[in-house]
Amino acid sequence: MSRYQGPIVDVDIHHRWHAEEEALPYLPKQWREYAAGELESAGRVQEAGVVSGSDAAGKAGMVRFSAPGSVVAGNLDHGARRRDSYPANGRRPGSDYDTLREQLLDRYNYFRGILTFDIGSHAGALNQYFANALCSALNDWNAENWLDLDERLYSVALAPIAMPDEAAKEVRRVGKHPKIVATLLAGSPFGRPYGDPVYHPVFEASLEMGLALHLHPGHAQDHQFTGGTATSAVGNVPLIPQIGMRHIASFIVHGVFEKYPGLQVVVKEYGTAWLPHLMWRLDKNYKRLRLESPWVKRWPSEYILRNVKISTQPLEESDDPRDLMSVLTSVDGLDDVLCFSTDYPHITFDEPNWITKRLPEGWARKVMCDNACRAYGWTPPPQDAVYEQPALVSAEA
Amino acid sequence: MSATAAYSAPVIDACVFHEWRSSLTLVPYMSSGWRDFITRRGDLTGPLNVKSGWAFESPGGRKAAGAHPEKGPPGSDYDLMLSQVLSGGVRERVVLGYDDGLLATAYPIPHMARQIIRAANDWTLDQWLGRDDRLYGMVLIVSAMPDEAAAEIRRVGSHERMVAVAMGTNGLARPFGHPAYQPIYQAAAELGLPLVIQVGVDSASDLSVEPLAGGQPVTYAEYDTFGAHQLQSHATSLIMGGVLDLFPNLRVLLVGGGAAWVPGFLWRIDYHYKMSRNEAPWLRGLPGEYFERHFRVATHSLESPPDPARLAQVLRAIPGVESVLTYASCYPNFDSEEPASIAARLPEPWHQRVFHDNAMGFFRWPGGARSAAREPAISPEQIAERLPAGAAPGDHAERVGEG
Repeated sequence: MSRYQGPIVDVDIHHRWHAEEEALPYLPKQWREYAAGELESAGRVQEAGVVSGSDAAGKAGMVRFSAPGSVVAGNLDHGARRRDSYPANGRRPGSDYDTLREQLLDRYNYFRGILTFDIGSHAGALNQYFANALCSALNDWNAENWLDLDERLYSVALAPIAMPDEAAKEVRRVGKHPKIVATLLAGSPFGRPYGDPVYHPVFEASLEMGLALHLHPGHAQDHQFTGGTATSAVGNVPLIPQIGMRHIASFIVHGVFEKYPGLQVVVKEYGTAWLPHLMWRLDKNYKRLRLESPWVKRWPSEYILRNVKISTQPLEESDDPRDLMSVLTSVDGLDDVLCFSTDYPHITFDEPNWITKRLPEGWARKVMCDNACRAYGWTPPPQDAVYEQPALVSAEA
Repeated sequence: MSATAAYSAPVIDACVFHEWRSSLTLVPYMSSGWRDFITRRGDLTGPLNVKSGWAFESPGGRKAAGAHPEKGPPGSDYDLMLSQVLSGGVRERVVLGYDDGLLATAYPIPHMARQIIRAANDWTLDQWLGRDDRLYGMVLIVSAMPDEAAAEIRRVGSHERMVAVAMGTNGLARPFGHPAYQPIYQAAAELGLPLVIQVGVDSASDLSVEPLAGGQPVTYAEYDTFGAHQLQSHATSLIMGGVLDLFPNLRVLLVGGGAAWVPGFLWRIDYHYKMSRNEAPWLRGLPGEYFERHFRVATHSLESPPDPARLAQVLRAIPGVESVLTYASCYPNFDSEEPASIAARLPEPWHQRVFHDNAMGFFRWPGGARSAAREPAISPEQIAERLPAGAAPGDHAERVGEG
């Protein structure tokens, strides 16, 4: 197979602030005081990497902007970041545009990439009023610090989904920006998967603004697997696909794709090889499902093919790449479902050329570019388009 | 794609659910204190219910329509089971497990749960295994009391017709690789008994775990679709927790979640393990290698795509698949399957192993060469001290006192 040289869309690039102080000014005064904390210990900047989780840097005593992640997963080497993604200027991985551009946008033939925060579980703050203010502030920080930097960079809206009506308002506010293409959901605050009616105002607003949904593994509360709390990171992270499957099934059984047929859901970082299993098992239960959810009008697998996109990262690594290809081709249509993603700068980064070698014959162009374009309503670029800074494309919405 | 064909040689059915008709069925096997407590003479609602509930009920019920005897729940009537499962000469051997009976292991009063499962084990030996020599049993345990469970395995598991341990429900709300469960594995390994973990292990209403990751289901369709997740959690935990290094002859049958989830699951667990080997330095290979060596996957709830060739396409990605898949009908559940319908979905060269040989090699059958408990590959101290296999524990001791 010849090397893929066409355009690339990357649906999962984790950008962030170096320290939370950078985003503080975007909060209204009352929440700035809450977050900064007028504490005796304030002013002592913590050493990066000492505190587990993604917001390690920042003043001691500050209220963290991200809901706590799983402690064991946060303890992976280098804070679960690529070692070489720590910028030379001492900033945190993903916080430095020049490094990101050099390691990603200019190194590969990027048509576009979606900046997705690190990891964007801000709606999961247990004080949901703070979460509400925080999501707005971070959306403003994003617009001001990132969205104008590079024509290739697009991004997502944070939505305080623990207050669904507020979240819908925020989606309508931020979704007007031409560079915002999706609403990010990273952690379900009610302990219910995302198809639940409580979340529907957010979907309605997203659809109205022409935004897709992005789903991403979120905070620790979102990682309650069956069987109880895992006792190691490797006991925990392989089970993450369970959550993604649950969300997809939940959209289907609650009739979300009947209610909002145009909704596109981009499900990221949950893996791919379970798709045939999921589709067959849901279809097996179709008769029961008609009794339980009479609004389900089609085979569950049809909704998945029509309304769901799955990010490739972390693409399962079978010893023989043909084994994964066998699994992915065991259901027709998955070539239109997978969307390339790197997860940069996380340690689970997938390199574009590594991925294209592991895709079934004839899938590369769709997976690396066109499927994502369809999810976001973009016109796919020509195959021979070459992108480098400054990007050749205009920022059409 | 090799053609599928009917399978006509003898079959071993690794899991058929027998159930007691009512609590009163078991009281003859109990102490007088529990007998009186459960019989509850004069109570307007009858004897005490000794089972927890299922976390989610299925519209149309969980049992096959034709499997209801005149009295009692499906699986409780030997004569009906004789006509529906044991006649026709298809099955050479049948291993009796429990479906609703598992709910007794989740009863919130652990002493009562213990009494129930002791009675159920004695009742199985007496009323079932004593009646038909094609039938074999599993030792039912209450995992919430690991030492008591180990004692029960030693008490009943020494009976040669008991060929496995039914792990029942997740009593401590921790995945089964948690060190608290180790007395159970010690006893099972000593007796050469394999473990059976079924979908439902995390599904009882009295357990403090949720049956599904990511929140409660609203439909049985979701609940059933994700049965395999319970199996994944416990398999991951058993491997990563070093249980299979501490007890190298332990074998585990995973029942009720289908099988097409296995390739992606193994790839992902190996992927993460390669990234953080130092999390479990005692492991002597990839998690996927442990899976192939120690785990068997029952055919119950095997996926059924419109084109069976597509299923085989996925299953071939399971290392050693023909030695992993093990036939289990799970009669009398609504989705139980006879060998013929499973055979129609699997390549013919796998049949002999799936329907017979794998079960033959898995259970601890009477008269067979009992695999003696093998020496642990590592010691519990190695896990406690985070040392690789082969390293000597206690290497920190010399520094004690250095200040």
